[in-house]
Amino acid sequence: MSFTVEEVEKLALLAKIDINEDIKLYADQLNLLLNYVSIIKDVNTDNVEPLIYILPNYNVFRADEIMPSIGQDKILQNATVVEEGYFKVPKII
Amino acid sequence: MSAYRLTIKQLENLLNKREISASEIVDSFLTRINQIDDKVKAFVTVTDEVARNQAKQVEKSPSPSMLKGIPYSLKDNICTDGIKTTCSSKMLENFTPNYDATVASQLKTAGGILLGKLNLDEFALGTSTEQSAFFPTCNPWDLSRVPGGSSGGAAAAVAADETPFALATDTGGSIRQPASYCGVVGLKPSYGRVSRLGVMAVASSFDQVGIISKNVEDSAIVLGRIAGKDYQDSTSLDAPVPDYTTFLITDIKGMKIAYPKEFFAESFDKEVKATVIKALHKYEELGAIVEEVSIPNVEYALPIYHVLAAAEFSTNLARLDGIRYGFNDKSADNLTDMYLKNRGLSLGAEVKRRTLFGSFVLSADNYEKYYLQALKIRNLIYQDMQKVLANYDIIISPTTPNTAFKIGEQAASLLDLYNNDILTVTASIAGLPAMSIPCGFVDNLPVGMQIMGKSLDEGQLIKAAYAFEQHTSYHQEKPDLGVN
Amino acid sequence: MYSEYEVVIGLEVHVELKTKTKIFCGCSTEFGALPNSQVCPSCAGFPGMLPVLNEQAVEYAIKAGLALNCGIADYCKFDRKNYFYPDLPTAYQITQFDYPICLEGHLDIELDGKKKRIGITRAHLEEDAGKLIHQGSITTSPYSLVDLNRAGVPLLEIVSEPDMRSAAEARAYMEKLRSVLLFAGVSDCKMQEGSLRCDANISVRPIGTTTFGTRVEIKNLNSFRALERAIEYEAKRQVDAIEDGEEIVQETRTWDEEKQVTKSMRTKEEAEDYRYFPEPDLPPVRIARDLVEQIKNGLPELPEQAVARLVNDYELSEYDASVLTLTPEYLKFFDDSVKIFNDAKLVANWMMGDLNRLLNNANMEIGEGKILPADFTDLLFLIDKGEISGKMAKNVLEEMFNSGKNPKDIVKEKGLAQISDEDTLITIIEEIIVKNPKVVEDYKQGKDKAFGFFVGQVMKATKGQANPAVVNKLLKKSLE
Repeated sequence: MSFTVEEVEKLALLAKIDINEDIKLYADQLNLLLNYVSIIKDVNTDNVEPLIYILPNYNVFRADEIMPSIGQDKILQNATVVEEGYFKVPKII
Repeated sequence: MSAYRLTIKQLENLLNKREISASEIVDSFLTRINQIDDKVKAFVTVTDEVARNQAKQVEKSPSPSMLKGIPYSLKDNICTDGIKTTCSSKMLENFTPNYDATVASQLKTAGGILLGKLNLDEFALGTSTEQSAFFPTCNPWDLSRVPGGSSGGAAAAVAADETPFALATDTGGSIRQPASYCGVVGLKPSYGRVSRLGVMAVASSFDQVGIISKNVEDSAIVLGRIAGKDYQDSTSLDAPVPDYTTFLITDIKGMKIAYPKEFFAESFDKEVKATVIKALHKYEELGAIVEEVSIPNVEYALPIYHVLAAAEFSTNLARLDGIRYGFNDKSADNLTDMYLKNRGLSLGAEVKRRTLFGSFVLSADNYEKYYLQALKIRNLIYQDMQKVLANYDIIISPTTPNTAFKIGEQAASLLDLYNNDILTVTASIAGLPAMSIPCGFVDNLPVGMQIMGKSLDEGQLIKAAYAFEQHTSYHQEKPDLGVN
Repeated sequence: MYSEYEVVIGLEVHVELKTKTKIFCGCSTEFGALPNSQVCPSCAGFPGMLPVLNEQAVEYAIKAGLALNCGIADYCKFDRKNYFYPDLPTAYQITQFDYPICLEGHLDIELDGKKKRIGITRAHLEEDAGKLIHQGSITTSPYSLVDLNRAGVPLLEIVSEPDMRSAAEARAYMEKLRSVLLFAGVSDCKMQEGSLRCDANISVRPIGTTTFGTRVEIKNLNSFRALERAIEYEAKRQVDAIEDGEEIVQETRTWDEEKQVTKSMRTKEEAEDYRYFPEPDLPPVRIARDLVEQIKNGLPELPEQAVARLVNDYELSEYDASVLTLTPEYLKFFDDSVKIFNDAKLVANWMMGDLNRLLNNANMEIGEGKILPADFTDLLFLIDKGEISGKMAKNVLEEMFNSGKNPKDIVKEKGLAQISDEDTLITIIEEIIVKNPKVVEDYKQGKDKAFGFFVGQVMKATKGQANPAVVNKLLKKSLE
């Protein structure tokens, strides 16, 4: 398969990244990359389990104990648009 | 000799003998940075004021201890409380965390002195540091060449004596490849050995914090300080941390070393291969048993790395939306537009490319074909490596297929650029510790040798690396930057 | 035409587990704090921050699963569900995709005396999102504000089989589910605070067919009433569409509380591709069988066991018993009251009748009210001893409900005590008889009305405080 401009547009919307001027270029590069990784499709992996966890550990828990939160001021410190203790975003729909 | 030329161990000796103060050490490095960083461009931020204050603090308490009063620098994707952490991206150009990464706080607690934050390929994606949104870093051995990447700033700063050591991150080779290009020691510990907390994630199942230093001994010292369980990182292992300096021994008689033939492929630079083969002969001279092995599935290592790493990367970076921190264009009049603009206007081409590709391989129609298939092949490669390591103590290969390339040279070729990771990704895929140490020069450019080992067996790497280092002098060679 | 169709309903219920801290960080989960004050770099999705699983959340999930007759998985893991929304700081929700913690289970409901078993497909752990505050509605607000206090609160999503066939069944299921989770002690299940929420999958099909119709998911069902209304509305909408020859579109709709209609949010084609994949920051969870056994043994009495106990111990009807076991606080009030006042039937009647009415009118739970079992049973004693009439008792209860005072004090203050003393009453009765010889004549000639006149006069003379039973008895005697 290969990427069409429309598919790349869809992906960009899915990933929420504006690439409007360079869609064709991205399509070409993604095709190159896809072509490069496509050899993995030829590998016989019947009866091979996916390696999801590289480490053998499990049940890593924390106790249900309250840790002090860092506070409203600090959490908002790096935000550029805030109002009355809230982060502010433009019209949703 | 000027303090900036010295290793951690040498500085410590002087401090202990009170022949130098922490402030004098700091001044020496700040002066050095001031003199040459215009050429090397390793630093994104120099924290001179913080460093001078920390030095004074350290001097107040007289008892000497490991790393106390020793300067260090951090790759700029390691969060520092109150100090900008940019990831060399326009997205985080003005981001100041109010928390320290665990590794940063470990060095702070030890009394180390932060000199500054080092340049990288934007969000650690790249192999040349040319993808930094701010400026490319230059290789101290030849300023027209790249230092490698993504930890190019870290490797260049250590090679140029701007910092005694640096902490950096390695996802598919980001510590080892630049260490190799810059002729310094780079150590990527086993996955789970060092905390990832507070380090901007690239690909969470590959990322590991490691060390770039001037020699093997310094690596062993620093690893001992940053290794161990962090209760805030569920993937850090609760395994005992040995005193790594006990592995600094030169007797390696009987050590079993494998060299996989696939890692000496036809297409790699002949002289680089010859340099590493010469190093293997050195090991034989030292009494090691050196044998050729085969790791057949290694052919798929880089392709699956690009699938898996892009997938994880695409979601790790999705949090960068400009709402809570980061670039906010503020002109958008609806939410979707805000996301598209904030991300579109502030992220670089490579970040976008891999985000798109990662979103693609995870999407419902492609998950099995690409992502799941790659996880299965990851298992095959993992098992291949386990098999070899069941019979050998370490595996040796070149770190990179060639020496440092010219700035701009590979920009046009996407796949050339990605191929720089071809020898380093295998250890990352299998979660194994790996190290790059200088093993010679080709045309006056450093060549690195990669040493891989069993999970949590960093001690063996240190031992093998130290023995080689003590019988050679490559690590003592210094680039000529026209200033002494 | 509606009678020719049946509606098929499955529910996805989200319940907040009542841990002290969030599922992946140590921030408090307490409701109602200042915006963004219970937030840390981890739950706000700052660079490099990592999740660590709250063990208590796992235990509550197991407990809930056992209470819902679910199998508990030996192995479960977490996955990322990727989508962009301002209330989701990392742009992915950590949830469980293919290996949930709770496996198949079921819940029995009762409706009009008939029992029905509703299947539970699975239940999984996940993190809640933050809250968005809009000016007016989401569609008209010029901007929205983000509060992340709720982001990271542990949720258990309980997915039912499509086993329900009416809005009433769906409501009964939700009520039963709520009661079971409350008894298990894993959540406070407050719909008005959002700690219990529900999405409904609804389809319709001609009665007699076995294949399912195209289903529509309805979101934003924030009360039992909204759930019922939305199902009724949506079922009718779908039947109308089919009858008009239209095809039902697989889509997500939202319940508009104001207009009482469902509105389309997005169709299947517009549906987000969530790109699920295993969460690399969290190792998997293995659940030892002895832990499950231990939690099982520690389970408190659940509603069904409580119903059986009430029927058995107090000979209450199954209906009464099930009403008394709607919440653990309600049952506890009953149990505590019966310990003091042993006529269970009277306790039940007064609880389910007047007390319930007062609570409902005030929109309160029993634990939030001012009445305690000790005062409540004092009232029952007053009734039982004939010191106040049933009618008076209603007023006293209302006063107790409003002021929290003891009924004896109320009776004393207002001079409400019933007059049952025979000597006092005889004096009054005889005076009245003497004053009304003509009416005595009427009574003797068999005019029933005349008796009523005397009762009325006694009541008037005692300001209604005379004990009617005693008055009746004494009047009859005196008139003979």
